[in-house]
Amino acid sequence: MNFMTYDIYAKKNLAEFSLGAEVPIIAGSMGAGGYQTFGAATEVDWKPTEVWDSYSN
Amino acid sequence: MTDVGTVQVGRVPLHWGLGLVWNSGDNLFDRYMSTGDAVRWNAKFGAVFLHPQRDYQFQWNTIGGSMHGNGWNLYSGTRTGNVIDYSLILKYENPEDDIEAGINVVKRLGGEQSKIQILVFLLLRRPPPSLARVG
Repeated sequence: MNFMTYDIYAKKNLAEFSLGAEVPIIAGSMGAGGYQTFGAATEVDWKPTEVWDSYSN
Repeated sequence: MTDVGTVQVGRVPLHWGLGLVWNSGDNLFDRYMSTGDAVRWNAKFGAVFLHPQRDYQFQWNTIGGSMHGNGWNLYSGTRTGNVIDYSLILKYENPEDDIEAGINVVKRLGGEQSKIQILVFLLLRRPPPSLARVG
């Protein structure tokens, strides 16, 4: 196993929304063969109100 | 602690971005988490964060089973499930614009590969006569 991962990521907050994206790109070798792959993911978070935290002492 | 950042040594959670490759498992429904025995330097230069790191993920010491298999090579009788990661995180963060972006470059060596790397390095320093004639 010998490979490189280039994992690119960005996130932007817009008012109540949060937009995120990640793209990992992998290249190298796994065992006797070559290994190349990539992935992509996006995420949208919506936070309409402030989170309520509760504490007990 | 240094003037140019913080040095972390020990077993640490690994996380980057949305968590596709490294996920520390902090959320409620996360099943696995990435952990490693790491030496890490956390530095910040203005809006740019720099995190060079070397971590060793030992097969039986990862929490939550994020490393699969039993770690033993049945043919050679040696441990092959451990991996070494050399990583460099470069992240830009701007709180005013609420934006962050970056890249995590990871070189992963696993199993016998890490031993081969060391062997190749030693051979290149002083090649024996038999190897010098090849090619």
